[in-house]
Amino acid sequence: MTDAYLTELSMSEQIVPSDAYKPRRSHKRPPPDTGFARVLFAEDRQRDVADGLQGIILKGGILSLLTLTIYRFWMKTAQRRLIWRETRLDGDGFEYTGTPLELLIGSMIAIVILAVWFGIANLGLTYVQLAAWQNFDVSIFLFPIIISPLVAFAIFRARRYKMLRTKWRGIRFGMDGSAVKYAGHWFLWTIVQILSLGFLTPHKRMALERVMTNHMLYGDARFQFEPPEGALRHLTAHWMLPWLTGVIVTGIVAYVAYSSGGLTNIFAEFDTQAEQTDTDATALKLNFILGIALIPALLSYPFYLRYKSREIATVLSSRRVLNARCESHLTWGVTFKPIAAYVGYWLLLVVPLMIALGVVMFMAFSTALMIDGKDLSIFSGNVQPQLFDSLAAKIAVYSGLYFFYGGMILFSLWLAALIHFRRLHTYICRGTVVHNLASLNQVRQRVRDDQLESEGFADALDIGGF
Amino acid sequence: MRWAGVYFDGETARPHNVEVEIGTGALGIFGRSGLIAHWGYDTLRRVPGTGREAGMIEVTPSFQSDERLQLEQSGAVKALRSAHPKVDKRPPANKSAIARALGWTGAAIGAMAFIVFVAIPALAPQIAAIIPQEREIELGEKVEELIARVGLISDVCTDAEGRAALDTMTAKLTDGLDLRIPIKVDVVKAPLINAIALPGGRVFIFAPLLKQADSADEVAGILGHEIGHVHISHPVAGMVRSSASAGVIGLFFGDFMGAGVMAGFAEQFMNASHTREAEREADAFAVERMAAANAATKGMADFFGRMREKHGEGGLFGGYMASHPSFSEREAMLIAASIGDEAEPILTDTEWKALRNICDSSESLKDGGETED
Repeated sequence: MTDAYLTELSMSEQIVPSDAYKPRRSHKRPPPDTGFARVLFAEDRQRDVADGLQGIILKGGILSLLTLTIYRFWMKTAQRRLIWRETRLDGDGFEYTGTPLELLIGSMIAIVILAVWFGIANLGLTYVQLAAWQNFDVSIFLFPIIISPLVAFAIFRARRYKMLRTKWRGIRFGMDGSAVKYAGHWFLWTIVQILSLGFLTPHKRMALERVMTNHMLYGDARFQFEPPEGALRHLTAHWMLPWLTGVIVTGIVAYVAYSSGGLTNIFAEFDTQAEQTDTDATALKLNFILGIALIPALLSYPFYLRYKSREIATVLSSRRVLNARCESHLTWGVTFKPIAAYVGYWLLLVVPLMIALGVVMFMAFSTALMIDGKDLSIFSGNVQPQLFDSLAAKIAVYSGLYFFYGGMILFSLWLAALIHFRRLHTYICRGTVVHNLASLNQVRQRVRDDQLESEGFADALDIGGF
Repeated sequence: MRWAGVYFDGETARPHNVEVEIGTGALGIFGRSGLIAHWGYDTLRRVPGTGREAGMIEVTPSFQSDERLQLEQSGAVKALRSAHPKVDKRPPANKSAIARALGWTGAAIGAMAFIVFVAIPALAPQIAAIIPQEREIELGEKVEELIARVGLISDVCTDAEGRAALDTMTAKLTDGLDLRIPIKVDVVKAPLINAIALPGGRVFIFAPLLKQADSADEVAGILGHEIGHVHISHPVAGMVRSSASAGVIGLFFGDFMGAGVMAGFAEQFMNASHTREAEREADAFAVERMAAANAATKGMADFFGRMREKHGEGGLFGGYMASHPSFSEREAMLIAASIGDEAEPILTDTEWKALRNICDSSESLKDGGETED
């Protein structure tokens, strides 16, 4: 071992003579006076980073499945560490200093606080479901309303945690301000958004980003939110396409359904159907309307992605620290291509994967049948663990099921991180530069921040992301 | 020899181009004006997350420090690793964080256990009680459809004489009782020995159970048990409980993809333990109704005795043992409650034969399968 090191040392000594030192900026560190600094994500080593990310996902995903998902905090930390590090501003990577235990503690604190709230909410929801709306999954609508006061709160806390656990060039980022106040802003703006039938969505987004950004810190310097001239007008113009598509298509669908009498006929049909089966026609109608509403939603989605790319660029371009200012120009492809890749990979792989996993599940099921000496006649499409007697057979069936769902979960994790997020992040970085970066040289370290609980609420409430 | 490096002092964001000397026990950092810093190897470590790229490393004098040094020549990286092999050691485990994590995890599990095992089971019957009857019946029909679709039950047996016998038995068991909800009992073809109660007063006796029973009293005991479930509204309370619990359990799995699936699995395992108490209540109800009908509970005790001999006490978890009191406990309870010699058989021999053959108007059923209830 030592010998090998010595040999290599002497070799490298031949390459770098002892007096060869010149102030050296590597290939990845452009000269300071080019006017702007680049933000790059793993640009020259995409393959390497993809492999690293894939390793984390596969190992982390499997261990999470085996540890009742407790390992997810370790997986998320490893993922962030890699993503932060490989995102380089002016050649220097960001550093993620958060730890899995912080995430775990934050999440457990959130559970302690939320358990009572969720218990009451779920009982209420179940009552409404069983007593009034059996044909219609009310939780789709009601659950978001129940947790909505907490979502904005959690989003703010998650951002704050990530800021406080990020360093660049040895200087800590940070965030102050109150998550409760932010939730208040969010609540008021959501009412405005609903009253304007979604028209003021860009205004809401920018207003909330302003609150958030103005609380962000780099060292002792505060972020300023300064949208470029006419940014909101520009953003609203981009919002018109998805918004109008949604509104107009909804109008057309409603008009066609109404004028042709189609809707009346269909509703009448539901009424007779409900009469016959002694069920609730309102639920059938709501389900139908929800199905119809997918048409405008799907049609406007590509345009929404176009708007979203502009929104990300505008938010980034509005951020300034001292004189250092972001500038971002993002095209439709930035948001569209990652989604397209996601859908493409899903279509390509989901069938072979389901077959492979299905074979394994079938083998587990057959084993269970053998253990219990049953024949296939008890099998009717669904794998029912309760149809088996012995513990061994039940374990076999449950393992098969767990394997099947686990496989699908791993597949989704892989798609989300490797196919979607990696592309999106790469494209956003490519389209973004920082002007006057040298002004950050004046930034000084901030005094130690107080101990903080992590982003637990965001975890518990399923507000994921990286 | 000296290597090129970039040094961040942890006080400002300004990068410093420096020369680095890698010694045997420490590392020296030199700027234009001479030595800037001197880092001993005892605490000098690689910054976690860096060093993936060949020929690049970022180190810190200690994990508490904000100072950073980047070395970007592979020779320098090798020299450092050979002089200081422990440079790649990870931060030591933070004992107080581990203690805090364990404490909070315990608190979270405790809070959740209180909600799932105490609060929700206590409130579920209250919620079940205020669900309108017509909705409960509707719900029962949905469950019936579902279990028919997965093959747990198939055709309803319709032999007229058998039907009449079943009605007689139901009438005797419910005589003089102010039922919460009208009860509808059927014998169905099914692959298991079982009887189940659904929301909305629906009771199914699985045909193989009739073949396993030696007397009408045995079946009556089981039917009384199921009617007990219906009357105490166990099925709908159970649905409220499991549906509300799954939502709470989901919290634990957080934003991990597929948290819903995980919560579903967990709920299935936890569900069983809730039902034992309900089974005891239903047994007690059955005994009371059998007494009211002047019938012997001995038959039901015999049935459980035979089941115990044939199957043992049941599986370990997720099986019979977890969701029911043991066969011997139930047998003992029924023998103790036996009303003795003055009891009459609940059905005549002819009626019992008719009931037993209620499914025989079509093809015969095979025996065997799992025993529940």
